[in-house]
Amino acid sequence: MAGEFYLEVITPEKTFFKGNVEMVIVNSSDGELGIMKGHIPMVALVAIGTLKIKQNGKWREAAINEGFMEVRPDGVIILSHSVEWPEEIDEKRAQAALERAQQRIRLRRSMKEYYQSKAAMARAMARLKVKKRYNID
Amino acid sequence: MYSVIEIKRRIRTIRQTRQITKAMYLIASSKLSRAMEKYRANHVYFEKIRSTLKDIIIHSPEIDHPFFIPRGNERATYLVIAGNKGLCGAYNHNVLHTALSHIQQHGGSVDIFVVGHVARDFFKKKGYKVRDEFLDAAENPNFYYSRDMAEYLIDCYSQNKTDELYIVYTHMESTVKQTPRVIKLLPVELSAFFDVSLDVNYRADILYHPSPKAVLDLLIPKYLLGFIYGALIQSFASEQQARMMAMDTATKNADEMIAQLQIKYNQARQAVITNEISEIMGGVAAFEKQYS
Repeated sequence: MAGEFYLEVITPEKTFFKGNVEMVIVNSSDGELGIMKGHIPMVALVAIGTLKIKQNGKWREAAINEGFMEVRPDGVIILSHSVEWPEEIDEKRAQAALERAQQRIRLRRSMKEYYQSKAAMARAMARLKVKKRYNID
Repeated sequence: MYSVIEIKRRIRTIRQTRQITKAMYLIASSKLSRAMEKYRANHVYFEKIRSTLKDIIIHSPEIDHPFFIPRGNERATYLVIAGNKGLCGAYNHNVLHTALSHIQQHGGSVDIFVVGHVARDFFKKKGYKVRDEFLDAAENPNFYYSRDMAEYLIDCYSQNKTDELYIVYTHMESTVKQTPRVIKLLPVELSAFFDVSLDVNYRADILYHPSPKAVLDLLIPKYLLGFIYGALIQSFASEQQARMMAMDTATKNADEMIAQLQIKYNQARQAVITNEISEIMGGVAAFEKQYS
């Protein structure tokens, strides 16, 4: 039986989530990173992708932007620019953003813009993925 | 004694000015409440970033990252945040003089980035060279401006164009108290976190994933961005607060002046009436004398 720990997910606009959970999984720079109770203190990068939270035996997913996670003995804090539940994701907007980003990448203007477009594309894809999985369920 | 018409005219002009100060008061108060809303929303996030960073600094004494290593203090960059307009009490004066005395103590070469027209004019007058790339951020503090500013300043620092980065802004302690503050942003020092209380006390080394450098590369810019954004909003809110107070006082003064003038006006009016009556009475008396 896995124990519970306290999780907070915070964005500049609001506190997205807080409560006791059994497990949380984020995308890090080199793959998924799962945290359970009793993890040693750690600070990790959170990459654009899916945030998975297990609470009361049920998994929930959200699309998360770049950020970081701090694991402390008393709980876990995830800070990110934006996090959205699938209910909050506007599929059409994400699709449009994806197409816009792809087009910008094709233009090949500058390195900086390339990275920005890449990030925009990743965000749009993460949103679409979360939304899609949610729609199937 | 002024004539009745003169006093009336004065009352009218004061009334007009009073209307303006009253309107400015209302505008400032609505701007203030909007700014505070923005500030509160961002506050939780930003305080968490600060406490995380403080946590990291405390638990990892040997951080080897360019943002943490002091390079001496030959060249300093200042970001001074003041208002675009006057008529807000001592707000601009306080923050600008705090900045000036800090800059004068510093010596060495300084680069001053200003936000707000008042700040620009002030430093130009004092004979400093002023960088005004971010001049317009004072009126409408938002995230995009802050991001541009943070990116620009971090680039300056990473490309070794400056040794230190300071920010001078007005901290809003409460609705009645605002104090100007000078905070050293780069290199990151523990002293910048004096008001962050850490709620946990544990002794253990922190694991960084994937590496300390990668984590700090992301964390520091976020910290700076949050700080600059918070400073802009706090300064803006302080300015509105100061303006509210100044305009409130002005409105009260106008009320007082109007009341005094009203008394004078009544007296003058009464004097005119008395005068007229005594003239009429005099005329009547002369008449009676003639025909009796």
